[in-house]
Amino acid sequence: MHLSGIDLVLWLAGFFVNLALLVVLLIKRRFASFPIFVVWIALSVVRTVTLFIVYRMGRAPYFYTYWSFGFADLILQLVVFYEAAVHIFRPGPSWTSDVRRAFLWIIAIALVVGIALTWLGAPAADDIESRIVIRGNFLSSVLVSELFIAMIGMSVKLGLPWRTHVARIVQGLGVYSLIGIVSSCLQTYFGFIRGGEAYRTITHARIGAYVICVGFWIVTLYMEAPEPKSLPEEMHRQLVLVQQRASFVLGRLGGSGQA
Amino acid sequence: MISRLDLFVAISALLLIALVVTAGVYWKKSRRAADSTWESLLERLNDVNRGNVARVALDLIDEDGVNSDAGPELDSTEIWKLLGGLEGMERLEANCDVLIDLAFYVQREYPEALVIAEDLRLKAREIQWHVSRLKGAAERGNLETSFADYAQRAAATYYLMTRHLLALYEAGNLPGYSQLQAAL
Repeated sequence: MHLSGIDLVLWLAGFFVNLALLVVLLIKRRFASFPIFVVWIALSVVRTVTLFIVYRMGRAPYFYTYWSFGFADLILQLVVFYEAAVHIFRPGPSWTSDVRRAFLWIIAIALVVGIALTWLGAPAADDIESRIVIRGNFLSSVLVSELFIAMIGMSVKLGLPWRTHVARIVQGLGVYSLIGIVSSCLQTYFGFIRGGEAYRTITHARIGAYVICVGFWIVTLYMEAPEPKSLPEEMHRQLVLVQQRASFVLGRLGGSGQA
Repeated sequence: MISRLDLFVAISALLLIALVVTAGVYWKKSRRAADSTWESLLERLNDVNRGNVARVALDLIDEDGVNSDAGPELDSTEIWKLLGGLEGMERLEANCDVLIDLAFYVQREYPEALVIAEDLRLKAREIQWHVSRLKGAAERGNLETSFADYAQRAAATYYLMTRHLLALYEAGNLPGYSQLQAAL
């Protein structure tokens, strides 16, 4: 297997931007707020190095390593979304009402749509490994995109604001996943025709998009979020009193109202 | 003849368009909420006859929100007239959307006020639940039998919620109290 000049450049670019982002996350102590996101980026750094080494060992070891990392990558991306959902939909000690049930429905629908479409697509590739890789990429992009859109929709409907860093993480991941749908759809269509020329070009474009996305994270996660206003002491005290009374009264009213 | 691959590409393209359009619509809405000022939010509140809402609410509960001992005295026809029928209830429902945006505003400006924002959201959705039941009853043609119960509870929740919001603003001596009082 031979790596072209552009392959090497993009491989190196992917490695360095991931490493730079990891450094930013550690320096800025984002681990406390987004531990899964930090682990995901750390995995990306390890994956790039490992795949580069394994690439020289032949097609089969590369495929299994790629696939193992790909699976871990998908799981971590989904957990990153869960982490973001916790920030948005559980700003206090408990989840905003009805969110969990709605999310279970969304995940179920996203899975059904994603799996059905992945089954429908029959990549134009000769070997099973290539077909699995293309289908896997497509499925993960569709799942993450659907969850991304659902998260935006639910937060708007419920009137829940997004804090700066959560918004940037989800925006980056969401936009990259939408690009992932386009690229894996095209890869399914063109497959490995003309010696895989189209496949490689699309892969280059996707890696380029990923590098831009990580660059966006580096800049936005390096910057501090705007300082929130703090409540005056008296208002804070009154707030607690009003809330306690409101919960008591409305709880009684609601209990007899929706029975 | 459309091949399986063509069908896959066509459906994927439709899915992508649907996702991008949905994202765009919600993103625009979220930007509108984020860019809202206190004044612009209050301007969106529909005119509601506060006196009538209070009368319907206080027929079910007292000033502290406790169910009145005597029980409701207003009948369906009076409640319908005082609240302006289903149209009036829809105005209350529309105001709940504004109250959710107010909750967004409060939480964004004062993250510590999360509890009151969460309470506003919860109760606004409770009213929307009551109104949705009324709409369902209207579609089924049995609005008359359902109206008094759902509408009176929605009015009582709305009354208490707006009073608590005003109390909060008054207690905190926050700017915008007089505007809020006039709007609610």
